[in-house]
Amino acid sequence: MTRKLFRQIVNGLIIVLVVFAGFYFLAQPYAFQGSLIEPPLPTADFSLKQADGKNFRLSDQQGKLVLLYFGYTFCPDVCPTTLYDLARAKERLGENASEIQVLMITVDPERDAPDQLEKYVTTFDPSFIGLTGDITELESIWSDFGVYRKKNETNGASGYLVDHTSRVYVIDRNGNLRLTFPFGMEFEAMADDLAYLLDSE
Amino acid sequence: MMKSSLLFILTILVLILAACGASAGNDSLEISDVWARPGLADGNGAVYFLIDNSTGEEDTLISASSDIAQAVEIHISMMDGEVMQMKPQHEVSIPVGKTEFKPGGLHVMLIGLHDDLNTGDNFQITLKFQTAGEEILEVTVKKP
Ligand SMILES: [Cu+2]
Repeated sequence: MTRKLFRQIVNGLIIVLVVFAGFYFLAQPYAFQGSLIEPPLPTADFSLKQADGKNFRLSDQQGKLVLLYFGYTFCPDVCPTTLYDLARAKERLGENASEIQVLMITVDPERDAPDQLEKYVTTFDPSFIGLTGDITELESIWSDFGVYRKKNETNGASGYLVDHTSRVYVIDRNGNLRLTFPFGMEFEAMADDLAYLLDSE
Repeated sequence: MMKSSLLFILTILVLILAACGASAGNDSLEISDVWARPGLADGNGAVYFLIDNSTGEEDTLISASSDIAQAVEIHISMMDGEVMQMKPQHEVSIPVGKTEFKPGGLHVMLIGLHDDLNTGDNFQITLKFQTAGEEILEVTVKKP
């Protein structure tokens, strides 16, 4: 009798605890795993030619989340790692994946021809877009996004290598810079942040 | 008399076997998990692996070569704050224990691939160490 009562009390307490824990977690605001930009920062629009000759304009993408990365095709390590993770994050969004546009703007316009860039980025996902332009156009975009980029001569077969900012910039559906992802962030975490942004705006 | 000399020979044999066994088991540079990501002809690639040095002494990786690409170099990627840098390395010290060549760190860079590298392809690279000499690695192309 007392044992039965005791068990009922324990069960009751567990239920109360679970319900409170549920409320507690629901009441917590979503914690972004990337770096949140608060308030969102309006981005400077840009327009660059794609490999097929069409113009790509950032402001035409409104309604989609744009994931912007600055890299170069000569880079065999960090850039492919990032693009592959972006492809996996996008895939993880399932039917919402079509609301994501991944862009790579080159930091190496001398070596990255438009068709080569396109071939490179589409190996990760056929929807990815690679963009280049003339150096003045690119320099103004790099500076608008605060991208650091520096050529370093090597005496080896690489000729030169390019140091570059390794973050991914997330531009929301209204064209504002909302979030950045540091290099090495898990793709599941990126997908969580992107899913939240897609749901909440 | 006969018995004691037989025992002596047996003892020597056992000692020799034990010494051989020890050198075969411990005195080695073991390289595993050798892979490369897919790549495009004329583009570049990277090879990654894990070196387990149980020779008891530090060794040095002095070069890497392969006929899969026009040139092969040893590189390291590293973060300087937000900025990713990649630098060629003349040599890499391989201390006792594990040294990992992995994305965002040390890698063997393939410059100017002769052909596309597709998932499932295999090729060879040769690593040259100061002490251990040449090690030929079988590389499998795969997604990370
Ligand atoms: Cu490299």
